[in-house]
Amino acid sequence: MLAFGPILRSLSRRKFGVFLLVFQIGFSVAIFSNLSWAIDQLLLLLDKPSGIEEKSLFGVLVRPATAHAIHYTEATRDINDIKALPGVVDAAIVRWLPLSGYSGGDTLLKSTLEKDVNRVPAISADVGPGWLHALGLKLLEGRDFEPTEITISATPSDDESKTVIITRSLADTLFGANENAVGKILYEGKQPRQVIGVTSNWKGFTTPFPTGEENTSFIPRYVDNDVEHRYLIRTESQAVRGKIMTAVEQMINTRYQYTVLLEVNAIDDVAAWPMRGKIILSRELIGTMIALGLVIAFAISGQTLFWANQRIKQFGIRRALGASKMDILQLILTETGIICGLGILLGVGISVVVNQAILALATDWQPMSPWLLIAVAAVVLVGGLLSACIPGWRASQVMPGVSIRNF
Amino acid sequence: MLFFYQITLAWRSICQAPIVCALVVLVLAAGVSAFMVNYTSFYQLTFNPLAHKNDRLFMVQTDPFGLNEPFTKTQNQMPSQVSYRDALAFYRSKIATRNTVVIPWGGTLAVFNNERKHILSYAQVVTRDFFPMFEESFLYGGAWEVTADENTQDVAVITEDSNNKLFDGQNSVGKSLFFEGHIYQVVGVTRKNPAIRSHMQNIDRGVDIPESQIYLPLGVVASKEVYAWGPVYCPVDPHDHGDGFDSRLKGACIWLTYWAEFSTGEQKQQFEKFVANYIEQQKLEGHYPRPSHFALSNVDDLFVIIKYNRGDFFVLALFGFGFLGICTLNSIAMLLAKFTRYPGEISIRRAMGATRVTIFAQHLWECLLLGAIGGIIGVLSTYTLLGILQRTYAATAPANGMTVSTFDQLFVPNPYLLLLAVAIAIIASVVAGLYPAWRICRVPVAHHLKEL
Repeated sequence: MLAFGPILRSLSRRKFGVFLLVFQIGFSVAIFSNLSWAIDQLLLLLDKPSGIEEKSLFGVLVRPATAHAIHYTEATRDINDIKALPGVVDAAIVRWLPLSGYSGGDTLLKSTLEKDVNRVPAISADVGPGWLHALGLKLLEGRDFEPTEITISATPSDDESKTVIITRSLADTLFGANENAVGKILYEGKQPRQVIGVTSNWKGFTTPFPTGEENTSFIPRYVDNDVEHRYLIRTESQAVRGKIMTAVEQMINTRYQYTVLLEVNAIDDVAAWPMRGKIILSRELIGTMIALGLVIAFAISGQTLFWANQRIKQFGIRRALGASKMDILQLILTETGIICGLGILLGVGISVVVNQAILALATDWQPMSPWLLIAVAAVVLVGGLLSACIPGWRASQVMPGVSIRNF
Repeated sequence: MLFFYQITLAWRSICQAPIVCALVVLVLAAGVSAFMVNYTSFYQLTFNPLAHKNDRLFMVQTDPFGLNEPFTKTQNQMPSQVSYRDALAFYRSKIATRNTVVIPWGGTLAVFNNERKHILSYAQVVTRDFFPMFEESFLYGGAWEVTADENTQDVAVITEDSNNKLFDGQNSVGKSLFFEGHIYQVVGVTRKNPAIRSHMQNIDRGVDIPESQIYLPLGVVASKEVYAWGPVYCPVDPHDHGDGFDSRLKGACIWLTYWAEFSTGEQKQQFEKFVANYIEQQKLEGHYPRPSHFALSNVDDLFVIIKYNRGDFFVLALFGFGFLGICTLNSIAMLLAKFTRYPGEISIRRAMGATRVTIFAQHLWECLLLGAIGGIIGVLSTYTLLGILQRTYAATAPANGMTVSTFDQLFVPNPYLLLLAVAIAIIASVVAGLYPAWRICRVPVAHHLKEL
C-alpha cells in the first residue's frame, strides 16, 4: 500500500514545477474539451439524414444572358427531353437546388389570420410536375399536385396558386404535432393556401442549424419571366450520373445556342459546399488539438524525467532498502496521477467558464455535455500516465549500488 | 560590441544543451504559429481599411418600423437598410460632399462571343461617388457621368477580375457586355483591391460576400427593375403602392444602404438636421410611427452595431492564445531544468566577481536569442499554414456557379502581424526565462563550489 504522505511532501518541495504542470494540464483540458465541443457543433449537421438520395441526383441551373426568358413550354420541353435520356428516373423543375444552402424563398407562415398567432419561418419553393418523385421525398398524407394545378404567373407577385404541400416538421409547427394537416389552410401574408399533402422531413434547401430539418412549403407554380430556372434530375445510380450530366449539358447548350449560363452539378457536391468551410475549420481545430496533445505529453514526460534524475540517489536508497522496480514506477505514476488529477480539476472549472463565454457569442450552439468533459478528463489522465511511463521505467531501472556509491 | 558579446555567450550556452534548447524553440514556434494563424483571420475580419475616414464616411440608419415592432437585429435597434424613397431624398439633398447607395445585386455577365463561358457574378448598384468614397482606383477609364445616376444610361464599371475573364485583360473601355439580359457599355475597369472591401460596402451581409464583379449606376434601378440580392424588410405602410416593382420604389420596404461622406463637421450637422426634418415630414404622411430616431454610423461603429458574426473567429483567436500560454508555461519548465543544470559553473562566475544582475541578464539574453529563433521558425510555419488554408478556402461554389471565392482573404498573411509574431515569441521566451534566471542567480555559491 502506497503512503500518500511522503508523496505529497515530496511534491510540495517541488511546488513551482508542480504548479506549472498543473496549469498546463488545466488549460489543455479546457482547450481540448471546448475544441471537441466546437468541432461537434460545427459538424452536427453532417451526420443527420438528408431525407433524399443526393448521390443519384444532379441539378441544372439555366440563366439566359440575353433578355430571353425561358418560358414554361420551353422548360417543360427540356424536362421531357431529359426524361427520355437513358438512365434518367425522373426530372422536374424546382426553384432551388436541394441542400445547396442557397434559397431566396424565406417566408413567414401562419395557420390563421388572427393577429396574435406567431408566424413560422419557412422556405417556400416553386416546383413543377414530377418534383416529388425526382426529389425522392415520401408523401406521408394526402396527395401530390395534379399537373393542372401548376399555375403559370408572369412575375412572382401575381400568384394564383391555391394549394400547397408541406413537410412533416412544418405541419407539426403550424398545426400541432401529429395533427392531420391535410385540408387545413395556411397563410403567407394574406394569401391563403390549402394543404393537400404532407411529405417526410428533410434537410431541405438550406439545412437549418441545429435541427437539420427544414420547414418547407412546396408551391405548384412557374414564374414565366424569371431569369433563373433549375432542373432537378434523378438518375438510376451514381455510376450513370456523370454521363447523363454531360449529355444534358450538351443538349441545353445546343438548344439555346450557347446563350445561357449553364451550371450542371451533382447534388452531393452542392451539399458539400455549405459544410466545406466548417469542415476546413474543424480540420484546423483537430490540427491544433494534436499539436497541443504532443506539447502536453512532452511536458509531462520531460518534467517527470527531470524530477526522476534529480532524485536518482533517493530511488537508489529505496531500492537498496528493499523497494522493487515496480514500487518505484508506481511511486512516479502516482505522483503524475495526482498532478494530472489537480490539473483536470482546474481544467474542468476553466472549461465551464470558457464554454459559457463562447455560448454568449455563439447563441445558437448547444451547451457542452458533461460526458464530453468526463471523456476529455479520462483521455488526459490516461495520456498523462502513459507519458510518464518511459521516464518512470527508466528511473525504476536504477542500480542500488551505483546510485549510493557516491555517498 | 557588448551586444555581440552577450549574444555569443548566449549561443555558447545554447550549444551546451542543444536538445533542450531545440525543444524550447520548437514549442515556442508551435505556440506562436498556432496563435498567429488563428489571430490572422480575426484581424483580417475586423480590419477596417477605411479607418482614416471614420470621421467623414457614414452609413445612414433610420427607424421606420411600427410602434410595437422594434427592429431587434442590430444593437442600436435600427436596420442598416433604408427605403429607395428615403435614399433618393437623401441623395437629392446634395448636402454631403459625396454620397452613394449600395445595392447588392447579381446576374449573368457575358460578352458577344459564343465560345466564352458566361459568368454568374455579384454586382453592386452605386453612384459615381462610390469609387472615391471606398477608394476603388481605376486601371482603365473612370466612373460614369452624373447623368447615369440621375437618368438612365446603360454604362458599367467592371473589376480587373471580370476584365481578365471577359476581355483577356485588354482595355475594355467603350466595349459592350451583357448583364442580366441588357447591354451595357464599359466606362471603367477597377484595379484589384487586396483589402477586404466588399464586406465593408455590404456590411449588413456578413463576411462571406465576395467582391462584386460589376458596378452599375443608380439610374438602372428603376429602368431595369433591380430586385436586390439581399434582405428586404417591410414596415407597415399606410399607403397602398400595389404589388409590382413600383411598390419597391415608392413603398416603405427597406432594401438598400445609403452612405455619405462629409468634408466638414458643419456639413455633417447640416445633413443631420436635414434627416431630422425629413423624418418629421414623413411622420405627417403617416410614416415613421416610432419616436424620431436615426444615426450616422461609421464603419467601426457598424462592426459593433450590426451584431456581426465574429464569434467563431474570436473564439479561435482565444484558443490560439491559450495554446501560446501553455507553450510559455512549458518553456518555463524546460528553461528551469536547463539553467539549474550546472550551478557549479555559475558559482565560479559569481566567485570571480560577476554580480547577480550580470548572471540574471546573461540568462535573459539567452532567452531572447531562443525567442528570436523560435519567432522566426514560427513566422515561417505561420506563413506556410496560412498559404495552405488560403488555397483550401479559395474555390468556386458548385451550387450556383458563383465564380468568386469567399473566405480565402481572411488568411492573407499580414507583414505587420508576422513581425508581431517574432515580438510575441521573444516576449514569451523572456517572460518564461524570468523565474528560471532569477532562481539561478540566487544559487548558494559556497555550497556548489565545495561540491566541484
